[in-house]
Amino acid sequence: MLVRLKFKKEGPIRFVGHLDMMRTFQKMFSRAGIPIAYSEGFNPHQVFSFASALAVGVTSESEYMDVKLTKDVAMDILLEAINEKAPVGIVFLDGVEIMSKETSAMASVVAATYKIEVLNPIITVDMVAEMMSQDTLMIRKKNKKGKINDFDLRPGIINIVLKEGNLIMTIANGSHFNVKPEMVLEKLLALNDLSYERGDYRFHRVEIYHDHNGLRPLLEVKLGS
Amino acid sequence: MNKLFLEDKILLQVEKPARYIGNEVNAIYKNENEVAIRFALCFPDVYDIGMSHLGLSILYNLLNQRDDLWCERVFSPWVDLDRIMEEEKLPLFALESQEPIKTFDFIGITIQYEMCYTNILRVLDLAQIPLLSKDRTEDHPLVCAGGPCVYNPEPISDFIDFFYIGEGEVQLDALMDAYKFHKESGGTKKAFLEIAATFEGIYVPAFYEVSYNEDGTIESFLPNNPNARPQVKKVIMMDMTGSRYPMKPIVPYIQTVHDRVVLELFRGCARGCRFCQAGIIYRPVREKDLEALKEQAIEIVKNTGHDEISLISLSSSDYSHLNALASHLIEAPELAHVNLSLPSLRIDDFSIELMSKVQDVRKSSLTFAPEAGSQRMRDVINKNISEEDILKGAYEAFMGGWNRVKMYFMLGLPTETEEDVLAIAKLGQDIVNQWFTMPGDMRKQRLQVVLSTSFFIPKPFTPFQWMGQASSDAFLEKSKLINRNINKKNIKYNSHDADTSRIEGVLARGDRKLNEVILKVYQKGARYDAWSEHFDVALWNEAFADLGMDSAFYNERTRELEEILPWDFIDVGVNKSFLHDEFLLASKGETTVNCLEGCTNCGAMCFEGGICYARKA
Repeated sequence: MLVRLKFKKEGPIRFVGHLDMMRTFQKMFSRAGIPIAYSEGFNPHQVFSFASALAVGVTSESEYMDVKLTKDVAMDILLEAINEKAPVGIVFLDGVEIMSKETSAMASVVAATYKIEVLNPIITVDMVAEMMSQDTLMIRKKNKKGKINDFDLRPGIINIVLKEGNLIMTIANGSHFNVKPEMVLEKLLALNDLSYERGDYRFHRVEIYHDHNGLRPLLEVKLGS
Repeated sequence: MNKLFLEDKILLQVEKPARYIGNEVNAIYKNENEVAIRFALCFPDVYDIGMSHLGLSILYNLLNQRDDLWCERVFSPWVDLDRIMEEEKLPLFALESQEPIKTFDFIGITIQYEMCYTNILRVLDLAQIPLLSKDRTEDHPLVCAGGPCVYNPEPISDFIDFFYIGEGEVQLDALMDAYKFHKESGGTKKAFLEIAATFEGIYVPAFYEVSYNEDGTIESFLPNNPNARPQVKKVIMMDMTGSRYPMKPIVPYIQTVHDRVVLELFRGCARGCRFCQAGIIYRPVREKDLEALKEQAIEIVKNTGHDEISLISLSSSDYSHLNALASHLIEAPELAHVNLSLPSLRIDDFSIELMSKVQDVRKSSLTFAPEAGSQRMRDVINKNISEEDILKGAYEAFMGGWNRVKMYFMLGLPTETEEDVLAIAKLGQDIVNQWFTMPGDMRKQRLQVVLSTSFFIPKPFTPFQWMGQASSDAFLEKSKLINRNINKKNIKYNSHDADTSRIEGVLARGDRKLNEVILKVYQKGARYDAWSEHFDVALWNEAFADLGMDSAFYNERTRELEEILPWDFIDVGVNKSFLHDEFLLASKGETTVNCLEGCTNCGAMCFEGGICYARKA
């Protein structure tokens, strides 16, 4: 049985990075005693994967993961068993069974929405509008090999608004096209000759989407056939 | 539980912020208004190291079983956060409550190695507590310490209010009861220390007066308070099976040195290696029951979700029921996805067979610790293992599929000659030769032999406690000699830092006069001396020079038998005369039977239990 689970991450655990979250979840599943599948081979490991890595310091109300089980378990029982052993700040909210042919959560992610609390109010509605009126928003980005490339952010910004002191942006996410919220912020500030200070902002991920006739939250999968 | 002491902007600047946030699975939270005693349990090194220490976990569990006490953890902030906390004058805080520890009742420090002494001062300083015991007021916490280093507490006696010599399980509870009563009746710190001093195993340095001879040796060491005991005897748990073991140890978020369940099989060591302090101070051997260990393993795995169990003891293969335990841990259905790791095994047929059962596919490297290269030298240190055992063990390991062997040796052992040093290189080569006696089809992988040498440091309560330590120059000559004489094709050679070994040697057998040196070194900026990348020997040399003191007095000097040693007032059960007899046998290259083979009447029988009686029955 393959399931996709949705959970939130809040509080101090936001400072636990992606790799440590993998280890933490592996131990959590063991404690919960759920029938999680192990990979074959000399060094078997639990079969689960996160949809998208969440950066250190960022909270989220909608994280997703795919988990393979060796037998069927009712979703409410599964969620209850995991929640009982989850570390403080992690709460499993929902889940669906997915078909084995369903594209994995990780491979299907296309976009994510972030809410960025602006602690030092220097950003204005006009600044946002001005940025979005540009055709291209070039930034310099280091690739994995350390080479610096010019990179256009503009097509990766699907939507951005400033509302009640929060910047809410929906941006490209995933293996095909990935934009980090800091890149957008940094660019927005740079266009106004302001510099970016990480400590002035609090990042929160609101939703992660895949493309199912438009952007749909990852838990909305085709059921049945 | 959601409170964090450090602001996000600080946590986002430092490496591994999860070191500072608490909230791990099985961390203990209490209502601060409902507890009478706040206890900060400190391991004065970085979180990753401290959280791997079993003793800390045992004490955390033990203390928190009391409803009237909240024990929280404190570690040294890593250098990046250390800098920020100093600049911003942020007080050191406990991980659970995220509150400054300067208002706590106790700061209890576990001291596992001498090179953390400057880190202890750093912890106090960052906590905004005066470093010297005499400068602290009624408003400051009581600072206490335990662990192996406190078997010679003198070099840090100015900084610590009282030392606990022995195992916390015995009477930490009774001590806390006494404190609570004392606090409720509004007594002074000094009054409490006077009560504490009446407990066996408690040493209050302020209650003793030391005078010195002209040559710097101790003339007298006497109590100056009627409550202080002339001899402080260590306290140890005799019933290990019944002792309280942490069944729900904290599960760190980040990878620590030991990211696994640790099962303690026994305390003490039967072997009697003459260089080894742990082998004496933890006597006698006290085993835990097999059935209790089986249950604990399953219970702890269930409570933590760890996928590995490690057996921990000074010489695990001496556990009476090792085979039965290992089989159970490998076969129990509850432990289906749990691996077993076996550190500190001796090289013999049995261990090799057990190892192959455990690690049937992935062969990690095999570690041997012959400690000395020549048979003569091994006899001097009473490491009762023959060259034949070592070579046979290596051959069997190779036949069993291992191709990486690590070997540990010490340089600068008493009576060591050039021949003994060269024997280390030769033994390495003999191991390589064993490899090539195997049939060709067994040698498809490349052989890797790693020889590591550390420098011998004479420690208190060992038969070598009177011996001078070799100088740094002599150490370097010896390691160069090995380096010139190994075949680098199959053998890699590593050597410890001679300066670190020298300073460790000074601190290990130091007296009260070293408090001043440690304070000075700290003030010069020494931090994280246990980390080679942060250790700066120049600071230590300057401090000794500034104070007009000679470090060689402490490490290179050979003591007279009659000399009052700074740690003589501590009674570990093993008699000084036994240590001296062992020293004489060592000088003659004669070995002594270990506790499994026979009793040598070392004195540990005074604890009325453990192997001293079990083997006789």
